[in-house]
Amino acid sequence: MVLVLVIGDSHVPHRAASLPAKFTKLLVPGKIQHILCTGNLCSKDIQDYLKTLASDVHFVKGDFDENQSFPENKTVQIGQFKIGLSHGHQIVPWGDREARAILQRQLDVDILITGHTHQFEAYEYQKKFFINPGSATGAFSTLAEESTPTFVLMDVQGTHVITYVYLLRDSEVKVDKMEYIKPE
Amino acid sequence: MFSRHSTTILHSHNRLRDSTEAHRMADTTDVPSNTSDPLSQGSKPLGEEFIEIDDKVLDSLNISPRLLEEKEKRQAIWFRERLGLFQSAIEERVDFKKVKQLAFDGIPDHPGLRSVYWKILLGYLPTDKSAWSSFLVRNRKLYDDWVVELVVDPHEKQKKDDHPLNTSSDSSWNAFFKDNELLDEVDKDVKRTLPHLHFFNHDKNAGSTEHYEALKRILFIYAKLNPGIRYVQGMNEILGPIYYVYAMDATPMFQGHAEADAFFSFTSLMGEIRDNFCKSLDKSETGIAGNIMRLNNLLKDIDHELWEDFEEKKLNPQFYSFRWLTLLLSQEFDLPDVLRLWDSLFSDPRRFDFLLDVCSAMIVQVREQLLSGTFADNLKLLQNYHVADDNAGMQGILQRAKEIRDGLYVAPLPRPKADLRRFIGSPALSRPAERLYNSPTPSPYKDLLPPMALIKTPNVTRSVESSPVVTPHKEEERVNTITGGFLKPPRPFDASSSDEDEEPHSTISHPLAFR
Repeated sequence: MVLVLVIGDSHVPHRAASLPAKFTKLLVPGKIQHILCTGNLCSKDIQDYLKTLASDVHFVKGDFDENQSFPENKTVQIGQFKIGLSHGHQIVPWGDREARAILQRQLDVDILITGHTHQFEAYEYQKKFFINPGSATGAFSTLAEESTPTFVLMDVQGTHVITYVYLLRDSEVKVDKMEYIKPE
Repeated sequence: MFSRHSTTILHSHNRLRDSTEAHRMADTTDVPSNTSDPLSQGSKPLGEEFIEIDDKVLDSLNISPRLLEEKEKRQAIWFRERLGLFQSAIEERVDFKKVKQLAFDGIPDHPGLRSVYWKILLGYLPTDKSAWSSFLVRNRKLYDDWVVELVVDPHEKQKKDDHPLNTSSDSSWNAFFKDNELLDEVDKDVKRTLPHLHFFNHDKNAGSTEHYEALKRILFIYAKLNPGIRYVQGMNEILGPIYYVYAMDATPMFQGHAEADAFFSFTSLMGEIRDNFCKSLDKSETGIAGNIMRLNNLLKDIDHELWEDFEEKKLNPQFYSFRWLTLLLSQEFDLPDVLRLWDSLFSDPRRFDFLLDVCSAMIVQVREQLLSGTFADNLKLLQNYHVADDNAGMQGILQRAKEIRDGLYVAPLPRPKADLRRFIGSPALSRPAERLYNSPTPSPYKDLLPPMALIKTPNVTRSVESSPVVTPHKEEERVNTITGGFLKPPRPFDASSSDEDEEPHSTISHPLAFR
């Protein structure tokens, strides 16, 4: 039973001051085993903060990231799932399903995680799972002026993945979940 | 040693042959330590109670192989009879009194015997033997239910809005993480329980340390059912041997259910010693401080000199006895000794008072080393307790403990306090010493003084009254070896008549050399 945090696009300090307090209250070390970060954290502060939450942290480079050493794409094996990670600004058109599917086939992954659009998405397409954790701070994006701060927590159990999405709506944290089963 | 051994066996064997004798032995209220224990030093001297002529031959030193077989056969017969006693005590109904008496002297290593005896002694199995099977079934089911209920799996019990990061108290995820913390704590200690035993660590590399998992579950459920005391480091050491004994039991009634049985036995045992673990009771009379105080008082009663010595050295009993008392001595000895010791402890009617007797016996057994050692040496000895084999190890300790319990132990006479070593080399000692050595009545200081030879060179032809002639040469040598050259050699009384050319007849060894 592995807990994986999927988070990104916080744009600190350029477009937002910090992660919402309600989120940081929930994110305590010791519960989460892996963190997959879609990029555009921008500063080192968020990077260090995420490193305190879990020991296994993966970053990919977003278009505004200050740290140039992050890779463009990354593939991680967690449990039975092969998970791909990319920021998403490379996938044109931004937010397009089929374009994402190309990357998924390219990386040959079961779950593809991308960001950049600052909109939460989690859908199954052509028997594969796609997640967009949205923006952790609800930062401004050219695609949509305002967005709800969101992040995603995956509970990986064998061939099941239960995806919990945490949204900050009206200063309250709302949780939603979705299940994905790996096809044989 | 060998011959005494065989005599003791015969001695007891004779008794056991007679059934009325056997009954009488079992009914005595006082524990028949000398008769039923094969290893206790035989009380009857050689020559008594011989029946067969072979014994005389046996007692001589040249043993032929055929006779050795005889002895072994005899031992086997004796063992079987003793075993029979144990088994008859629980045959139709459990004779609790007899069980306790028999167990006090050690339970034989017959498979399954110790396991069932401990279950009875720890109050798990009822005395009515017919009720055993239903009782066991019921209790095992109870334990299984608890496992299912208390080992929380958040996926199964999840409420609709629950999520892994939930910190509210009714969230099963929250409970899950809290339990995980407890489990981690338990796990750390469990992994260090009896790690040298193959039984526990045989599949460690393959990842399946199933016995450790069982220990963890037992301790975890105990902690959850007893929130007042939860888990304290040390409980694993008490559970370890109990679980080991139960798990090695292959009798069909108990096989495969070691975990559930160990849980209940452990719970009832903890019920008696939990005060030692409860931090808030530390200072109280029933807590660990009170027990340490009782041990100290016992030591004071039985061996005042040793107790005083400890007080002078500021050897606080807490330094050594804390671990002894809380863990029931499980860390001080190897597992076989611990099992034997716990046979006696569990069958003690005055619950765990015998533990204090055993602890004081341990201290008393090494009193010579303790009295002559420094604070650091004493502490080292007591914290890594090891008794020399000539004191017969655990057997000797238990024997001593029984003596203490029955009030039969008498401490040796205290040694004189004066330390005469500082007088070495001084003229003050030579004449008086001589007088002491040669006095008709033995002087108590005889053993304290260095051998005569170290003070002067005795001349055998000289008479007692004449004054000694001190050889400057030899004296200097010897003095220097004792004191390392710090003291100057004394002035010789008569420098002219030196005895350098004279051969030192009896400069070595015994103080009576002068004669």
